[in-house]
Amino acid sequence: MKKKIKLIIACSLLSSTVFSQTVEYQIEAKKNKIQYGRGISLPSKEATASAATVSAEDLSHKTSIDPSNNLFGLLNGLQVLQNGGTAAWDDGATLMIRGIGSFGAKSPLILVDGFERSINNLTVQEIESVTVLKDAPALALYGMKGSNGVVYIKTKRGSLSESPQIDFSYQFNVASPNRLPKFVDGYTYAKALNEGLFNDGLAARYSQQELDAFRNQSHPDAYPNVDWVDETLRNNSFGDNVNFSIRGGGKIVKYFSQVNYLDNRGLFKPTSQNDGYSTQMKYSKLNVRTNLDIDMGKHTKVQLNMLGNFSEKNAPATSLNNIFNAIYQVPSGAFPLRTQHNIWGGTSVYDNNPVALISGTGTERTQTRTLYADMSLTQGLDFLTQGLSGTLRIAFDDCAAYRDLNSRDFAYESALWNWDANEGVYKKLRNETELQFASGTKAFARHFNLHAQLNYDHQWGKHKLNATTLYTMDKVTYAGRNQTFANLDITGYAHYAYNNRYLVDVSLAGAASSILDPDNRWGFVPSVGLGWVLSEENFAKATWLNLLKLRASWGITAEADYQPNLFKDLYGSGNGFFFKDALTSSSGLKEKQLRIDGLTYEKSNKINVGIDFMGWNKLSVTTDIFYEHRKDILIDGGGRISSVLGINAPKVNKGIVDNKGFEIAANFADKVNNFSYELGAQFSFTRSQIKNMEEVYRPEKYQERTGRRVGQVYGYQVEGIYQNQAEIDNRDVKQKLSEVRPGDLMFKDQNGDKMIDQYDMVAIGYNQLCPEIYFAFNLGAEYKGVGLFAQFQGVGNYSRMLDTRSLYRPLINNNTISEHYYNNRWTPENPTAKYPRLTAEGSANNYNSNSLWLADASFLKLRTLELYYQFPTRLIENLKVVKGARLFARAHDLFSIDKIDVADPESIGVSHPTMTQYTFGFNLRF
Amino acid sequence: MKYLKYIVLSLSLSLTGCDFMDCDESSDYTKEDIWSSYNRTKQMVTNLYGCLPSDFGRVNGAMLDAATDDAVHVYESNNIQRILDGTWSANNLVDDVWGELYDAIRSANLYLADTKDIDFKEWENSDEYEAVMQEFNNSSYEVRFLRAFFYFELIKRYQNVPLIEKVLTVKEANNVKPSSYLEVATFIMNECTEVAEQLPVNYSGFVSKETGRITKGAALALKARVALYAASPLINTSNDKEAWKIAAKAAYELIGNVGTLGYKFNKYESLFTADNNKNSEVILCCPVGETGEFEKANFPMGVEGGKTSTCPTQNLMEAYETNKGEVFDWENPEMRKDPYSNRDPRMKKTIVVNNSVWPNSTVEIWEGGKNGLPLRNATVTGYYLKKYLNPEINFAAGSTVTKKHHNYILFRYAEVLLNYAEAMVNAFGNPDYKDSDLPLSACEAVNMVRARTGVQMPGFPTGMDAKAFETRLRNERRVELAFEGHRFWDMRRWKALEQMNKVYSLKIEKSDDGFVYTKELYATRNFQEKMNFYPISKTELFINDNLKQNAGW
Repeated sequence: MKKKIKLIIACSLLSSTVFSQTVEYQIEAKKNKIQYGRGISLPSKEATASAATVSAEDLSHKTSIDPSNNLFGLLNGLQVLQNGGTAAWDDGATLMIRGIGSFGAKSPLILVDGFERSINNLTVQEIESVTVLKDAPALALYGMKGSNGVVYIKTKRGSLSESPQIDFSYQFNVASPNRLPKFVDGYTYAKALNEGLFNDGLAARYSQQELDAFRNQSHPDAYPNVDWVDETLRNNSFGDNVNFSIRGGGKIVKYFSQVNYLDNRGLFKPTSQNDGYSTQMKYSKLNVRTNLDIDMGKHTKVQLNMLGNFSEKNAPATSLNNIFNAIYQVPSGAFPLRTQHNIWGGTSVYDNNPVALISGTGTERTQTRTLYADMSLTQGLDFLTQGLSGTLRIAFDDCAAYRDLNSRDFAYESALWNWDANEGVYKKLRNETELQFASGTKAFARHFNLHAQLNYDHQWGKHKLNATTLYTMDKVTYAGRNQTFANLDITGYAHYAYNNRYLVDVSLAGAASSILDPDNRWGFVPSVGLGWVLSEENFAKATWLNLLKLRASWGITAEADYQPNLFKDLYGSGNGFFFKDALTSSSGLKEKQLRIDGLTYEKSNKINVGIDFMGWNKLSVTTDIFYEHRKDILIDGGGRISSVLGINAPKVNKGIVDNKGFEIAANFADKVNNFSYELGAQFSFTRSQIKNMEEVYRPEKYQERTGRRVGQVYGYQVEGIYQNQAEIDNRDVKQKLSEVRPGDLMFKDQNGDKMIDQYDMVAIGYNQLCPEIYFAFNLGAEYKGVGLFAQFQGVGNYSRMLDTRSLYRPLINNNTISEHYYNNRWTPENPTAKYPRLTAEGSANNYNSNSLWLADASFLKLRTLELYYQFPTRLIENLKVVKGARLFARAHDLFSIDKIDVADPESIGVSHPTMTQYTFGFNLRF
Repeated sequence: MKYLKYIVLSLSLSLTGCDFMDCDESSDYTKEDIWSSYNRTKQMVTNLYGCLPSDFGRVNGAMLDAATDDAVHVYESNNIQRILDGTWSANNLVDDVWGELYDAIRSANLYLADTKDIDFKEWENSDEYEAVMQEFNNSSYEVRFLRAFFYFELIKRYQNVPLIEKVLTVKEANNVKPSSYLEVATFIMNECTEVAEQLPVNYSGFVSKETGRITKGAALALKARVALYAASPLINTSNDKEAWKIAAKAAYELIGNVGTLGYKFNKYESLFTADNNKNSEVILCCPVGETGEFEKANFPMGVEGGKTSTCPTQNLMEAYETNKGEVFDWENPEMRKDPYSNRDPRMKKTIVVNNSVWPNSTVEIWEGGKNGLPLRNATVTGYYLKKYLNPEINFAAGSTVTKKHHNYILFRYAEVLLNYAEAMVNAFGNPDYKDSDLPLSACEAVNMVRARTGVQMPGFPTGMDAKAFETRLRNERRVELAFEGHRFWDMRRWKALEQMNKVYSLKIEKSDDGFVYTKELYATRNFQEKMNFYPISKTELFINDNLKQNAGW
């Protein structure tokens, strides 16, 4: 690490400017083209679709292993939620466009250079722009995959230049975990367990003598005190990111080439106890990209794009989930790290010594290779008709992961103290095994795409027409059965502009999906977009007004994302039985699935109205209001089919969900003398409503889901905590969920039937899938090369159920207990406590879906804080080679303001912690 | 390049073919896959056997008997308590098996419909063809029996239910009309009559030699039980003697042929062991596999791994006669003094009493004893359950036996005899009546049950008054078949639920000179007439207007 820091300092001394100033870029971007994908892009002034775009500049304030983590709060209408994942390489963000339009959260279609590809194989540095397509005119081009929105990622390409532009950057990352759980020490755990058992009416587990032994640490093998979080996790993880790119081009060939290497050394502490291998979570990835544009004569253009990606993961041989579960579960008083015989500690209950899981299980190395290759050929066909051209694009992507597994069992022993004999009693529970080697394919994917299209561009007088017909084929196969999916689309699209003022987009697509019934596989997807550029009208023309445009669109987009074979009757495994005198098990078969007659795709009616405004060359405002009415959603039909049928009723395309909302984004940028600054803000609100779900009979009106939000949480309303038995006995309402004891939660009797049961659950909070309010604001300022950039992002109307083991569910299932719970638990002496009494047996009364555990998960996070210095040109003029240099320091996710405090509202549950990341680095341009 | 368009066009057309969109990699079977293979066809029947019910704690671990005066379930939040505490309703269902029984019935209907025209002719030249066809041809009778059995499970709970004999479509399912209890009962009895003529007495003549399958005896036993239920006061409200005669004849069809059918009494306790499937008294049982769950639930608190669950009541304990055949009377100080001695031997084979050895050490049910109150979840009645529990199972650390086979008896010979006795005394009003068609009197039938080895209780005397006989017969049925899933239903068909309203427990205190027993009223139930049948789920009624809720719900 020291070496790295020296390198940074050394390099930074050399350094100087890279990128043009960010400040005026926002407005510049609006003048650029909006990518609809499918080979169609329109000048943003002419687009009628609702879209948001960010450029490489906007993305350059952060680098992430998974570029989805660069998108927080950048694209209005795209909800990005952070995940802890299982490791630093597995923390890809959850993406949603315009909230929840169907039952459950749906991922948008992610396209890289026009083809469906995963974002996490890219590097931030190779991305030219990211566009979010939100409404019908653009989404109609995506057939059966369009309804959930599209994230269109375009990678950088070459441009005409005299000499190649060479960029080099290096970054060093240090990350520290956010809000690690704090669990109690061994003595407190033992007391808590006794208290829980006492509350359950059971005998204490530890005697006073034993409690003293915990406190004094007199017999640490039998009565230990191990801080497992501290023993397993170090304070920081480290990473590097080195990027080299070269970009340029002449008349014939234009090129962009990039090599990126990044690595990450994870959070585990006990990783170097084995000879020959480390058990750290380590990740490295080498990305090599080349994008070529070749002009083959006057009418023929070829594009060749290729991304090769080699990554390697190193981790302990046991699953990372196991390790984090053990860290969250194992009490500090359960067993020692190692006994005095230098054998891992354990008991017959706990075979998951967290340190041993990291250090003693061996190692797994996974190598993933990905190739994204595509080629497009565009041929001008002016000899047939002026303005006609044809394009053929073919993409072939392949991804495979192989693994080497060196695994073994670690030896562990239990330790007891025999007080009578005054000696330790040790029992070996497992012996160590030799490393066992295994290898194999972990996953693969193969993706083929073909697009063939004819374009017609024509301008006459005040008229402008762009028309396209498009034929696309798409087939993807993943490892495993029933994992091949194919789609076909035939699309016609036309864009017409009159006098730069009146704009019309029309499209009609036919789309087919292999998961639909072969006899009824095609669907039709129409859309219309209208635009009126008011600022071009004479009555509105003004020098300060750069743009004022009204947009409106309507369309019916489609989505078919079901499991395969729903159109077939299927038989599968049923009940078994025992025959013969010497009872022998026989397996049975039964009818498993009734086919869905008339299986169809989801149809989403999308209406959008928007205004784009730009004025004084400084201020831009975009606002949209949308309404989505999605019908034919495939849902469980069982709620309305009698069970006399005798089999699960087939699903039905009868679900209807409405989703509406608005988005507003504003940006202001200005420069006063040497001081330039930029302020930006965006806000979006979405709310879904279930219109039909074939809902089952509900005895109580307030339990009906229809009419409410998708994903609405239901639970009991907590009225307090029972203080004593008399209070339980005297209350005329009886709680039927489990035995009720003093210290248990008291619920509201919603239907007045004097008992608490499932019919007393009411809508509480919001949903846990996607916040209804998503907002961000950022500010940037620069003075003489010194710059500051900060971005805040937050959410509102969002709920999370707090049910993390040990943290909120202590003692049960052999969990430990968090300091947070212990300090807030109910006891007779602490009657105003927040949380119910301790229990070792569990309590269905306390630990269920109720208003105590459902937290308001609103938050405001500082996503990025950046400080940089751009070396002035005069300083580096003399260094003939270097054309620009920049030095920067950044912090990401520095703090979160929220109401949960002991856990990250975006990452509730057992997982790798979310991290605060600090980055130091420089960019050089040659 | 001028042909580019054509190249594109032809390329796309050639790739558009069915091939491109055909992604069939299904791992499940289609209809054809099933019925073209005899093994898979047979597995469709196995699935139906797997639908047979058992009651090793069918209601979240509680036995239905915990909703009678035979037992109390120790856990108060268990769903079974809803039957007792007045919160049972069409929205709060208990033991709701409506859906799973119709699932089983559909599977049976599907099997019968789809195998009607199958003959596996393509295997005709195979050596095993005949043996296989013997099994296959028999299977439709097994399936019809099973369907009839499932229908009886339905009507005894829900009374009038849709009688479905075909595979329903989704549309049809919402419009089915219920048939009356008697219509369905008649259907069951007719089916039993027909299949009994075809089914084998046992499976020794079949190639797979799979005992445990449906036999002729099982069909006759089901018919006898259904006939008895149909003749009972709940259904036979006018006390039509003919119904009782039908029931008596149905039972005698089995009893009269017991020689060929091969049913014989063994020791009482051997009925509840891991290999009771081979017991010659058992007509049909439902094996549930090797498990220790029933022991985990019902071993006493204080025994390692035990959780009490089912607490037999003082009521049941008193129902056992003395070994001289006298009614046990707690008020009689002589009898109370040493209540566990000189009793019907079946008592100690059914329940665990204080200070006896169970499962391998002395149980201490007295207050402060290792298995007694105030230990939490120790028995609240003074007794623990023994029947069907396997004392070889041990959950202490280091134990090697933590599970054993368990086979829940669905029909056994003793029940048929008791069914017969009840039908006879009600049909003819005289416990000693017999004639040439029914050459066994009610009294003789009961005494056959009481006389078995190891029980050897004195027989009922001849010349008893019919009323007195029936009272004693009902008690005999209670103790003989305790915890075998009968009393819960018997008390309903006798319309005698209110007789179970008072549940007693025994308080046991240890003193220097032995134990002090105090009988206490544990709880007063409020059984109501509507509870003779279950409520039908509101969810079902909401979907299908044709269905009618049972009275009172």
